[in-house]
Amino acid sequence: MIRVGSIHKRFGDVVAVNDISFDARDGQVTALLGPNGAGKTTTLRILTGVMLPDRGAAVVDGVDTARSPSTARRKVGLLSDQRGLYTRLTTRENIRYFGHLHGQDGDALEARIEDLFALLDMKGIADRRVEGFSLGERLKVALARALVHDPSNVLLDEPTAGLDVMTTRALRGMVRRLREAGKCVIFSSHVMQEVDELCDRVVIVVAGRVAAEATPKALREATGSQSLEEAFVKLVGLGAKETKTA
Amino acid sequence: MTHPTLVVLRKELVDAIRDRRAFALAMVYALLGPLFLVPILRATATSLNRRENAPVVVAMDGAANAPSLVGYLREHAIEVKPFAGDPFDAVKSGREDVVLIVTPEYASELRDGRAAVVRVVTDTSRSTAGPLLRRIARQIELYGRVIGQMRLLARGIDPHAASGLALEVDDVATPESSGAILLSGLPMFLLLAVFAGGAHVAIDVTAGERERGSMEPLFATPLTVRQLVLGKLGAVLVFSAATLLVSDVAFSLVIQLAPPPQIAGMRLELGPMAALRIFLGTAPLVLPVAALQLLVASRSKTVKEAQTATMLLLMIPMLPGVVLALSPVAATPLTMLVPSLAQAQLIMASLRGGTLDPAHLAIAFASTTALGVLLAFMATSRRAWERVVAAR
Repeated sequence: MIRVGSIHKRFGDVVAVNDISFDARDGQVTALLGPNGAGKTTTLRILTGVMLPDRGAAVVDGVDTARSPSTARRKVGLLSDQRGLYTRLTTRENIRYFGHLHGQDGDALEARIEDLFALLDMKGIADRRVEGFSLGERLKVALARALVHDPSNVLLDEPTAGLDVMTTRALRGMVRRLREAGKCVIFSSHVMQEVDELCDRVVIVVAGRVAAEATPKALREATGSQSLEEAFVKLVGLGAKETKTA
Repeated sequence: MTHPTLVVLRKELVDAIRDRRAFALAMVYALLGPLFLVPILRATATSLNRRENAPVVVAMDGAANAPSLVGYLREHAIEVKPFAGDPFDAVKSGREDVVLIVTPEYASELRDGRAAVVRVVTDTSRSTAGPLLRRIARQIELYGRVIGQMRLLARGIDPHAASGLALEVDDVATPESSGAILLSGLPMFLLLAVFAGGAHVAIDVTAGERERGSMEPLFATPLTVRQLVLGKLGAVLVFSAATLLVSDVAFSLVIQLAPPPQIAGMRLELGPMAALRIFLGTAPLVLPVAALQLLVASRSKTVKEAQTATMLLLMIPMLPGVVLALSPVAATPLTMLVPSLAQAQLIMASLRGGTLDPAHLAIAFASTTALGVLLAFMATSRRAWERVVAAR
């Protein structure tokens, strides 16, 4: 469960996040949508405690990410938009490193890594160095790394970007599995069809503010749109206008 | 469970060792000095020796007139070859550097107790003529003095009466300290090893980490910024210290296995004890250097920018090395306060063969470590890293 309460963040003169609030519930996939530069990545960074909000608070399972970042981070798994792997380490070493950083060790950790290899069908790349991996293989390693400590909250920043059909399907399967396991999943994407199909709730962020928060169906109906994409375009336009008049 | 900082340290070490090219480069820096400086020293020493004692040949017109002079010169490694013709023409045209002329009157002048004349034709504007002339002139003067003293003795006069003053020079330079002048390039190479050894690691774990995009997931783990960055700093320290050690040991081995020839009493020595003193004296510099490199590299936006910045830092070991090589600055408590210069001087002192001044060691250690702790504190500050992680 993640609660974001009216967070603000500015970098010099640039206001990146200007009062964002939303809830992401357990057992649900919450989409975080918005045009580039809307403040999604900054919001995700505040959720992991990598950045501190100027005002407001992000609370993960009851823990304030600014007050107790270490405790909060134990409850969060992050798949960042750049997968960011260590190319001179093998798949197993990459994942094991993050397991160690999360305080895991020994047989329990090794068993967890084997489970993830089976779950994500990556036995073939388990002991190869990451150098030269395809986008799909990199995504799998990064995803296994994000899940190694079995977090109750999972942040996926554009997980399907650049993936082929097979890997995309495998990833969506994984997201559904996480939801069934009662995890709180936050999912950012630019593919509206995917969001419509996969997400329970949608938060649309425009210019550092929340422009809309509802189920995909409610958003389509409220805007009188056939597709979520159409609804998104309308809502982003509205949000931009409001920001200007405000 | 392993301490989180050690987890980071271990991973960064494995990662850095697998970075073959960077690892090889660090080794090149470590061996640069031993492999190039020592052969240069050998060549210098050999050529100095040759000039001092190698036999030379000089042309003499009328050698038959002075058989005893020819004999004396030959005893002192100056071979005489007979010369006939125009000496001025021979010197001007460059066929001869020096031509000695002994007239037929030489023998009668000697016999009569007068000063027998030996003329020299030479061109001192030529670089090869000067050393040869000085060497020949010295031997001829010495020979003349011997003859003069024998004449005084023959007349019952103490030869010392002819000398109003006697100049006595006491040279307190030990053989090691004279050799150290030649070795003044060594501190520069050792300090270079400290700076170059950890540079690639410092860049890879900061700017490199960000360029790969792995910085953000890493900082989203439960570790505090200080725990994380201390692990990274540790990896830089290990590489920097290891490169220093390799360089130090290589210098010691090369100098012991293939010692440069002695030069007029100068002996170049770097035994195990001196090598150990050098390592212990220089090792404290590893902390401020590693922290500074980490600080600079983490503030750089790209790996390229970080490389440029750390290259500029290489000027720091060069400066005291160059200063000491050109004009030696005496080691004082004040110079011991300056990290890098202090270590360069401690290395020189170790090479001179004496024991190191404990007060100097203490001051150098304290000031260098204080700077190191300050820089390490700055390099691991959370506030600064928030910007580093966020910046693209």
